[in-house]
Amino acid sequence: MSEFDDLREWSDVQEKDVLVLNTTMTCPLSCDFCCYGCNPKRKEKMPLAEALRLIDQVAELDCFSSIGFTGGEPLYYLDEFLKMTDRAALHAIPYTVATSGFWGADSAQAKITAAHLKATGLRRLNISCDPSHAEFVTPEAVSTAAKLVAATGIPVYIVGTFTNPEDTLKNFVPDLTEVNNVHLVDKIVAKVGRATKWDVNYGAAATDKVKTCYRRVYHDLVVFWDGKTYPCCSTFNRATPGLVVGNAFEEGLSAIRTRVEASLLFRVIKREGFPELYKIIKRLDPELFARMPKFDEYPGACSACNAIFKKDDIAQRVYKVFDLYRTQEILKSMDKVDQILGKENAAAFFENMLVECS
Amino acid sequence: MSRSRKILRTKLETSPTARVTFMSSFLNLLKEQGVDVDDDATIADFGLHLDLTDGKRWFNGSAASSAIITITE
Ligand code: SF4
Ligand code: SF4
Repeated sequence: MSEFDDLREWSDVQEKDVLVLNTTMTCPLSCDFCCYGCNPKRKEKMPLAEALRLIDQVAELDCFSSIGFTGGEPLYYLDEFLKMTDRAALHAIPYTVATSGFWGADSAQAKITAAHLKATGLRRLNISCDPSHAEFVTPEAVSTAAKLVAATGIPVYIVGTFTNPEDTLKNFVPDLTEVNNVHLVDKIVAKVGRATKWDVNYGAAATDKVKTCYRRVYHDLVVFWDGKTYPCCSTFNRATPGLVVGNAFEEGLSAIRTRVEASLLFRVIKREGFPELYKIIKRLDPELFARMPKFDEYPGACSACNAIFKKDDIAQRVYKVFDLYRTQEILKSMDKVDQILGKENAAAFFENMLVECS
Repeated sequence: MSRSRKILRTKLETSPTARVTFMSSFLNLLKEQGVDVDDDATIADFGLHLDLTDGKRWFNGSAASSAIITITE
């Protein structure tokens, strides 16, 4: 199995960019490992008008193929969630949802919710279920929500997050193992948020570690309730201030997306990975290289990324190095254009590019 | 060196916005000059990590968006 096989199973759809709306930090649960420290008392919530405006923007942009709703609990403010998903449906934009399935506890209401999800274009439902979530939501409620949605033909992924690689959903929710359209995915706790200091056994993952972002092309652009926007849906995003790529309440999604796509830093960590990032930094700024957290000390790309980009001074200097690197590479590519296209075509290329850049 | 190329070079050296535009327009403008931008080997020759960026093979391996999964390592 290659290092990305476990990610491929998540969809049979060729996704392009995904706008992920992290609409609220409110959650009826308070899981002990929550990466965002959510609980019922948290009040942060994305203004509905902003969410709708973002959904409208997705409809205008060819590069987006779906929207993801997450939180906190995206179904907690149900009326607003219904309005957002209605708006997605109006534009025929499919969407996915990550939920705790707490709404499965009331089976009559859950039936109505499942019918709405189906009618408005839900593409996939992810429900978190494991011992930490089960402190607050029973596996029976999860099972009700999962079965109702799966019965409409929509794939449901039950995600169990454990501290030990030997614990599995197969044992935890045996009645969901053979249900049509229901898939079980086991994960290991991330040492972030409430679980920062946990003792976690990463097992085989620690030796066969992922060195790149989880998406190699395209982006999951994640907008939080306050408009802050991140380039990925990694658990570590919010704990990594240096990863903020803009504020989608203050500028268009298109501009943010263009910046992310044009970043050689993201290109390198998405396609080639952190070893290449370190190589470039070592060459262009050996002093920074010496000060940086070492990749070997972290279980994977995202935790290393968090270690590098959570410290403002290091993050800013890495960005500076990569801006220099990009400038050098762009100038080299101009020479290549000359060589490969020949005099006449190269001249036309540069003229057109000058118009674009003016 | 043509005048356009010279001006462009100066712009790229001094303006971050121009660099972003350069990166995002590069493939389209190459296409306009008849380059087969769908061919990995061809675009690799231009540098800028384009072979790794836009090659079709990445779509096979990572078609799935894993939006909202728990990336924990
Ligand atoms: S259900 Fe999710 S968002 Fe809510 S407390 Fe648990 S981990 Fe956090
Ligand atoms: S490596 Fe960094 S940018 Fe990439 S997915 Fe992980 S946290 Fe996000």
